[in-house]
Amino acid sequence: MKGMVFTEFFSLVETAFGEDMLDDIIDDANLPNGGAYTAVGTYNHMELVAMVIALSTRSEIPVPDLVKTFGTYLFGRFVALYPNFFDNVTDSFVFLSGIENIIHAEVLKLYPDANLPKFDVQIEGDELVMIYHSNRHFADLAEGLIIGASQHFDEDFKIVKADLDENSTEFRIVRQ
Amino acid sequence: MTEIAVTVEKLQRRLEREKRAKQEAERLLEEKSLDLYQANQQLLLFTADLEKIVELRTNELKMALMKAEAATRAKTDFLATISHEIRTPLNGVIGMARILSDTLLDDEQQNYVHVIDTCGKTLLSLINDILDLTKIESGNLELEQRAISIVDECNSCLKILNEQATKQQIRLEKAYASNIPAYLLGDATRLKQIVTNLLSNAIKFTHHGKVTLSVEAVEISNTNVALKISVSDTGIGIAPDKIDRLFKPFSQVDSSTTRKYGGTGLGLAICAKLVNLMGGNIGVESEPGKGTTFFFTLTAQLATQEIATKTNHVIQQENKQLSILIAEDNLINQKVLQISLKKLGFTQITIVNDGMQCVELFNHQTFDVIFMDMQMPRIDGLDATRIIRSLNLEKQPHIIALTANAFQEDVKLCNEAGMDDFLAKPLDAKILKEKLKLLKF
Ligand code: HEM
Repeated sequence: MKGMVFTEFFSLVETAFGEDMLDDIIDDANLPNGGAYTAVGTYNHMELVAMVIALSTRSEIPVPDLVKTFGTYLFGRFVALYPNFFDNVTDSFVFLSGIENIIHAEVLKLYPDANLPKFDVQIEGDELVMIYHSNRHFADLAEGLIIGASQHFDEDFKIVKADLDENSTEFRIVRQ
Repeated sequence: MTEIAVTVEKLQRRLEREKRAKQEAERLLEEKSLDLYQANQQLLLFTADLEKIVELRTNELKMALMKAEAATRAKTDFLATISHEIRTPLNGVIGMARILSDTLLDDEQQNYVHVIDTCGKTLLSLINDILDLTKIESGNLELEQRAISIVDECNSCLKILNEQATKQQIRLEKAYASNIPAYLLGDATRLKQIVTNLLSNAIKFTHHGKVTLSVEAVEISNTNVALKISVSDTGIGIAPDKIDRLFKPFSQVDSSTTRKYGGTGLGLAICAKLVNLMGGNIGVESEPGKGTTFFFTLTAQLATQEIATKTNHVIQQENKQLSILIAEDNLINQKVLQISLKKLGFTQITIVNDGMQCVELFNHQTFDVIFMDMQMPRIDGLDATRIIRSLNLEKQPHIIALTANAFQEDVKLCNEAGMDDFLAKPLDAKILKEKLKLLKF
């Protein structure tokens, strides 16, 4: 997983729970590099999982909620870091439909070692169906990102989430 | 542990973490730089490879082009050689047919001889056309640049075709604009070739009405003129879909046309090439059933004064028989020329088989006129002429070159060697008569 996901996670923990909490979960997670991450490095995604679990234990907030919140926060950071991706895009469904083929495709050019999920996308009437495929099990992160997108486009989504199998999760999204 | 100590320790750990992150970032940066450098090196190699490949391809293409050009040249050479070779025996056929027709024949026999003559002449014009075309295609045709009068040349074309038009009861008209300059630099022979070809086609394909030759200057400057010369007829016309093919070799509108109207199918192709050589364009407008207009443009330099036309060498020999020497290695050609000359009333005829014999004769004898073949064994016609011209003779003979290739360079070579005139084989009795008439007796 790209280091920028880790550094963004750190800044979220720092602002929301304070620096002490960050120190503590780094200790708890027993990280191989002692928690020294750089945005341009690449690290095992399980290190992030370990920190999230530690944060959940200490804060008593369930893991899925934490990951979802992180997703929403991350989306805001993407908007700030990669404004180009949002030029000329006014429709949230159009934007979400293009995650795999447009945005993640560009990400892959920039970081050939990135591990990105696959999405099957289909618009059925006023419903957008996104099926997330990844063996890294970040469906909650995806949900958070989708919520982030709804906020960015100033819309209200009703999201129905269903796991299809171990590595696939379906999101049925309707604009309210 | 005091609270302060704890805080210091925490800060130290954070600092350590930041330091390690920084080191890690620097290592990554170093790694990326190396990657980038290697990628660059690779790119350079790749570019060099690409350049090599491009060069290789370019060379391959060049070779292919050269091969194709060589093949075309070989084809052209072959056509030229074969045509040339055919002309010699054809000379015999046409010459003998003519001589035969002057003997006592009954009507039926006369008819047969006429067929031989016509076929022979058709074949000859086809061969001449092929020679012309190969000549132009191989880039060996040089256009003359002499002062010519367009009006005179056009009139002479009309004169040549007058008989054909009258026979078909077609009116032959001219429409010359008043802005045509008196003289310009050009190649009269080739210009006439184009105009007569267009006129002859027009007459051939017109059954009623008229054929008009128009000339106008479309642009005149102080030094140059652009002319448009058109031949319009009221003939059968050409279907629009056939027009593109007109100027390609052997592309008469269809084979039935050839059967009905004759012709080699090369005339227009030659015209188009000649016009291109002259820096102009050829085109056609036609309406089936109404008529056709062929036109071409050419740009030429204006000629300020008429360059004196070369007057023929005149031999003053009143009431005296000319002594004639024929230097020619081909027996049939010797015969044809000898009989033709006898018909014209010349009896003092000597024949030699090569240039050596020709030159030797001049040791103890001289002649008024020599018909000199260009290609002969031992000493060829050009060298023989040079030798004779170098002799200290009381009176130099009038030397007429005989050759099967009526090419511009040959004329030039003959002139340079010191010959006075030029006669293309197969011999045309009319032309022979004209040439000898110019020599006053
Ligand atoms: C401008 C918008 C976006 C950018 C620049 C972006 C970029 C990225 C990057 C850099 C990663 C990390 C890849 C790695 O660590 O190897 C990532 C992962 C991910 N992205 Fe996006 N992304 C964007 C929008 C979205 C959205 C809207 C979604 C949800 C629908 C999404 C779903 C995910 C998920 C779930 C992952 C985690 C990896 C996995 O599950 O396999 N992304 N993205």
